[in-house]
Amino acid sequence: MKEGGHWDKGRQVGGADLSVIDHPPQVEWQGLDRTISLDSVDGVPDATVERWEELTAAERLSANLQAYRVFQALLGEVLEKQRTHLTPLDTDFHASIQSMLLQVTALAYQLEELLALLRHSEPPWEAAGPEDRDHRSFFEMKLRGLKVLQELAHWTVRSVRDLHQVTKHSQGSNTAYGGQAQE
Amino acid sequence: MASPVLPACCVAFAAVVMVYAQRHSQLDTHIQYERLGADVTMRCGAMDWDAAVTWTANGTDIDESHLNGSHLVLRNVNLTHSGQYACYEGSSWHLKYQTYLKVGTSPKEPVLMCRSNNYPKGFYCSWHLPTPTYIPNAFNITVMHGPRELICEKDAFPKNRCHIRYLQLFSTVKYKVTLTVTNALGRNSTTITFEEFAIVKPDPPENVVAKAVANNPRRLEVKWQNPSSWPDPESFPLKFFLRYRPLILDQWQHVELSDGTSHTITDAYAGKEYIIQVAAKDNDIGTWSDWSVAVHATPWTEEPKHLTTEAQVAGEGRTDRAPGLALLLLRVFSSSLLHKGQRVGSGARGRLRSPGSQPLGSNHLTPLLPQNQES
Repeated sequence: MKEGGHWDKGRQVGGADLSVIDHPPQVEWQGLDRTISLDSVDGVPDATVERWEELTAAERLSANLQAYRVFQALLGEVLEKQRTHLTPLDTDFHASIQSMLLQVTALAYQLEELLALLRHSEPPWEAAGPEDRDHRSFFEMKLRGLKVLQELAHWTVRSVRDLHQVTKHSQGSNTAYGGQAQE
Repeated sequence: MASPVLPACCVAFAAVVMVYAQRHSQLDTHIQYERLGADVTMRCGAMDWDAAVTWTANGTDIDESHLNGSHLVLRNVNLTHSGQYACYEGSSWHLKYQTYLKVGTSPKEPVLMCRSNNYPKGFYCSWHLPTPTYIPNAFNITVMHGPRELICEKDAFPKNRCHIRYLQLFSTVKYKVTLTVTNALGRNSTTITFEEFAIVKPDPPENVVAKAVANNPRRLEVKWQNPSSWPDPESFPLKFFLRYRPLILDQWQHVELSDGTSHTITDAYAGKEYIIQVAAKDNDIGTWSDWSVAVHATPWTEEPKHLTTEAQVAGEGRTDRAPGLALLLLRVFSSSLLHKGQRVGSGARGRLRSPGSQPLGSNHLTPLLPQNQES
């Protein structure tokens, strides 16, 4: 009986094809065991939420958008570290991260559009994280890379659910958005 | 005024009651737990070692060979030694001591599992001991989510189960569940850790129904329902996996379905009884459910003319209901038809062959009874 992975190929999230994020948590990631604790890595958006059922459409879209904006920056950072320090020769790998970065950028853009369409205000751009990037050890860079990918994967699962809810509620209550919600 | 002299019968009765009371006076009844295979020595309360006593086990006198003075010695106890032991003073038959002996073992490491069949509401944990202890056990479970301890509410039934409501969703912080089992002879525990997504496993689909499609000898229509324990199939849709095979073959055909709760099989072998099962999985996370209860169906067949009488007598010509002899005859009939088809030969029939499978003609009569659900 085949076991389900954490995500499946060809998943569409808000129109963006996130199948490229079909990157299962590495059993081994650049020499790290999968059981390693990533708690020490900060600045990575956490998909955890309490009372998820009670979130409004605006809250869902906002939270998703904020997260993917940060992931844009983080993926850029991961890409740079991989190219410069950790895996300078693995161009295939760089290409996948690049592709992920593009998808995340596209998704963030679509979320902005969706927020505008539903007449919600955009969340403010958050300030960049700690600037001591260059003072991290290779080990820390690897840990960060793993954490970014894991949390991104978690976020995509949450986004599928969030967008589904947004769709459901906007279909059910056209008048809630001033009667102008377009499909 | 008559003197209050009790009649003789009442006196006698009172005497009997008194003797009985003395024999079974309200002594503390002890319970003692002893390990299987151990040697057990029981003292007769405060009696001296050299006092004359009689021991009983569940009311039956125990042979003197088990006595060491006034102590009762049981060697290498097993489960049959469990019971009530009492010690009486030699001549007076006063009850001096009684105890309940329970022979058992300390607990082995328990088996613990947690699963969410009602995502995103919560999950349950369930446990059992791999071998019985034969004495009462107490279970204690703690659930940690990072630094936070969650309450696992015990279910009334089954007993060895408790459930937890999710306070957070989409968390990457692992859950850590520890179960401790304690009894009079010892304790043991086990811990498991898991992520929120990993334990999601729905119950199997319900009410699976498979029917023939009229005038379509190669089709079977299968319908099912979402498991009733899955709280919100709209927001958390399930996908399904259908497997089917004719009873006479070992290899399953598989179909994965990303939506809908029905499917039409279009490549069934004419006249063959099929066994069909469905499994479910959350669209994005977790693992597949167990297989549903198996259902059987046979595609529609045109009534064979020379067997009409039998079929009509048996059940109005519905081939999948014809009992006993009629069924046997129909199978022989369809088998020979199929066999002829094979000899004529066609590429499509090649699918019937799989490594190690036998040609149809030889073994298709063997499973006359539906096979049980396979896991």
